[in-house]
Formats: sequence, C-alpha cells, structure tokens
Amino acid sequence: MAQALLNGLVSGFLIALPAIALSLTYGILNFANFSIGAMITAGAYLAYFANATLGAPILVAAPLAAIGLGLIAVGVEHGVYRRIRNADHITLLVASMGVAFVLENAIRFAYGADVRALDVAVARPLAWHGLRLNHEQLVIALAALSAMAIVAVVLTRTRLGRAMRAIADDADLAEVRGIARARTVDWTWALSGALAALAGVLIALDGIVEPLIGTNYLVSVFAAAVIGGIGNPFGAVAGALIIGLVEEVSALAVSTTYRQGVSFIVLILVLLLRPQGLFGVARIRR
Amino acid sequence: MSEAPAALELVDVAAGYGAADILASVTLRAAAGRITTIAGPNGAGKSTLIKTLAGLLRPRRGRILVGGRDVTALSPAERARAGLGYVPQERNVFRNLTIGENLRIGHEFIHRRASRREFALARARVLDLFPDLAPRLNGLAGALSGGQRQMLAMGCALISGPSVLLLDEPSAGLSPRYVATMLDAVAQVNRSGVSVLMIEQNLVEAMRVSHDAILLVGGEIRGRWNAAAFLADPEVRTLFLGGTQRVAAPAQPERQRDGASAA
Repeated sequence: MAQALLNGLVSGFLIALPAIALSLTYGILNFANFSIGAMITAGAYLAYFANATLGAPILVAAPLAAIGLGLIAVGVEHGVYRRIRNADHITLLVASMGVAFVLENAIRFAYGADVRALDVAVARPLAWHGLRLNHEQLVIALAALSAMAIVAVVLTRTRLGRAMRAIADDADLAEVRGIARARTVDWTWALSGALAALAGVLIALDGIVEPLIGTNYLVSVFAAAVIGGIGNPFGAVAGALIIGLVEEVSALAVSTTYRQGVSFIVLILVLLLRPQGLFGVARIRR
Repeated sequence: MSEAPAALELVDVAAGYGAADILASVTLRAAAGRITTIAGPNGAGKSTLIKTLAGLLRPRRGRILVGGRDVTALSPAERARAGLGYVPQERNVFRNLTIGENLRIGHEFIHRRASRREFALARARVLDLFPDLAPRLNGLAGALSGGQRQMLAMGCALISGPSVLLLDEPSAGLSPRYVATMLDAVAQVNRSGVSVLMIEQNLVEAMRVSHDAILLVGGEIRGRWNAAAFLADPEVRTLFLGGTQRVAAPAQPERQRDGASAA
C-alpha cells in the first residue's frame, strides 16, 4: 500500500505538468487543448532526437526538447489558433484535435511506429524501509517539483504571470490596462509547450518512446485539470496528485489495464458532485 | 464649439455591432482640463461611444484624437499607453487577483521601466484618494463591495497618470453615500489636471461636478451645454424628467436614477 502511494505520488507529479499546461491555455484562450497528448509525445521525440540521434546527454536533450516544443507551440498558435481566435471554443477544440493528428503523424513519418528508448544509464533502485524508489522516479519527482515551483513563481511573482492571470480573468480589461494580449498568449504557449515536453521526456525516461505515449496520458491529464477546476493551474496540481494516487492504488484491486477507466470514474464523480471542480470556488465569476 | 484645446476629439465617427450602426456620425470635443458628461436615454449609444473611445470597438468610419494625436488605428493597450485611462461600468477589476495586484497591473504595463519607488509613489497617491483600499491590499478584488470595487477600478485607471479619463457610469449601482464620494473623487482627479469624459445617468449629481454636458440621442449628438444650464433646458427636461417642472434632486438618489433612465 505504501509503495502504491509512493508510486501514485510520483505519477501525480508527472501528470501535473501537462495538466498545468492544459489549465494555462484553457484559462487564457478559453478552449481545451486536445493536442496536449500529442505535444507530450512530440516532446519525448524531440528529446530522443537530441539524445539518441545526435548523442547529446539527457541533461542537454531535455531542455532542448522543452525549448523546441515551446517554439513549435508558438508556431502552431500563429499558424492555426490565432487565425480562428474569434470562433467559438468548439471550433478551437476541433482545431486542436487536428493539430494532434498532424503532430502524431509527423512523428510516425519521421520515426515510424517502432518502440525506442532514450540513451540513459540504468541505475539501481533506492531502497528505504522496504519501499523501492527507482532512479527514474526520483528524477521525475525532482524535475516535476522544480518545474511546478518555477511555474508558481512565474504566475505569482512576475509581470508575465500577472499578465497571464489578468487575461484569464478578463481579457478586455487586461487590454485596457495596457497588456499586450498576443505576446502574452505566445508566452503562455511557450510555457505550455515546455511543460508538455518535460512531461514527455520524463515519461520516456521511465519507459519507452513510441508514437502514443502522450495520448495514453490524455484522459488522466484532462481528468486532473477538470478535477482541479479547469483554468486553475494550482488546482490542476492537486487534481493530478489525486488522479495519480487513485490510479496507482486502484491497481492493487483491479488490473492496470483499467487505469484510465479509473480516472474516468473519478472524473465523472467529481463532475456529478462538484461541476466546478474541487478547487473551482476560488474563481470569482460575478 | 469650445475654444479650449481638445483633450479628446471624435470626427464623424460611426460604430456598431453586426449590421447596424449604433453611432451614426458623432463629432465631439472634450475640452482639456474639464469634466464633460455625456447624457442620453437608454439605447442612445453611450456605452458604444465609450467602448469605441477605449478601443474595444473599432469605428467603421471617422477619427479619434487624444490630445491632438490620431489614435484611431491603435489597440486598447496602445491607447492606454498614449494616456487614455478607462473605467468600464461593469467587470472593471480583475476579481481573482488581489487589490494590490490590480493596482500594480494598472501601472506596470504602461510604465514598463518604472522603478519600485515610482510605483510606490503612484500607489500612495491613489490610496490617498481612496483610503478605504489601503488596509485591503492583500484581499481579492472580487470580495469588495460595489462601491469599493468602483474605487479600485478608478484607482487602477488613475495610477498610471493618464491625461484623459473615460468613465462609464461611475455611480451606477452605488449606494447614495458612495455616489457623492465617487463624483467628488472625479472632481478631485480633474483638479489635478486630468481631463474627464464620463457617461452618467445620475444627472443631478453629475452636473454638480461637470463643466460641460453633451446630449446623445439615437446615436447622434443633439447638443452641447454648460453644465449649469443643462438641466434647465426644456428639451433635456422633456427627455429625462418627463416634461414635469421637477428639476431639484429628489430625496432618494435611487429613484432619481430611475427617472433619468426613463426616456
């Protein structure tokens, strides 16, 4: 049980990164970015390209993947979303599905559907009072926590963060107060891309690289963001921890094949009992 | 019209939503250093006019000048940086941010290179004007009462030191005590050199502090008065006071607001 809780915590940290990314873009652009799964995959492949193809160490490859996917996300914003900014959010959601198909198939085109692995050394797990913590799990926990801390500082302590929260609160008023909306949206996508890429690298570290690794996390990520009260990045972290823990603990009782089903059940329960999400009350909408 | 130089000028502006023009052809000047109030019955296009001035609505035709500079092509953010402060009627503060953050946002995107000291001075000036806000800087803006929220909204527009202030019904929804406080604050801001253009339904209170009054009916300017003469004009009285002889303020400002909105 303690082992399941530990695994769940690590898994929650991992889900938190794309869940934050999803919440950030939802808050500012008011649409659910369905391509978040494909973005995670793209991040893993960018790291694979730098690490296995070019031979860069993973500590170099991971930041390169984050920067690369950040740039791609800004490119997609300019090429796709900005052109349909005034369409309703269903149109934007469908557009993001299209982006997901393009990203995934571009990856298949370049690397095929083969299962690959990053070029990293395998280390012994750490053991402590009968609990086992993989080296990868430790890296995931530390990297995800650092990324969350950076996002929290950016959101609450920097001018960019205030601009992002102001636009999420009221986009027209933000413009009236002198905030350059287009530039802030670009930065939001860059940050969102970097978080998704980091998640992709961490997932790949713990397992394999294949064209569906991100999409496999799609339900968990959406569940985490919605449970946290979508649009609220801090709630998304709490939602991710809940989903991570529930998925791992449920694996003690039911087969891990049903892991996503369990996320779905939690999501449905939360939506039935608290449609605004567990942490949705903090947002004042009157 | 006015001999004083214009703080704000509209030349033949047409604007609206969808197919129809709400403003047909509006030409007006708000004199520098004065308070100009735009009055008009509901549906006259007052809100459309102020949104067009703030840049939230693009005019179909015409030009908008701030201090003689053509700002027609500028975005709301660029107009704010050109010295145009705007207080919307509703949704005028960031509700999920603290009061301190709201004030900071009002300053930092217009004076991008300002030092901490400059911001502190600007904030102290605003808190002098609205001392109610000072003890609540860490509270959420959405938790404020209507009157306090209106003060914060005005503080956020003032903190950057605009040359022209646009106010969309600063007294709307306020309790009688706050209506006078709010309009006194407008007068005080004006005395410090800021030109004010406001929309107001509460005409008796508004004329107490205004210098000029402009009447907007059906998307067109019907005339311009000295504030002192405005409420005595027969046309204005027919429009707002139902043609009765009643000119003095009724005892209850709320009732009087209702009277003003009945066209």
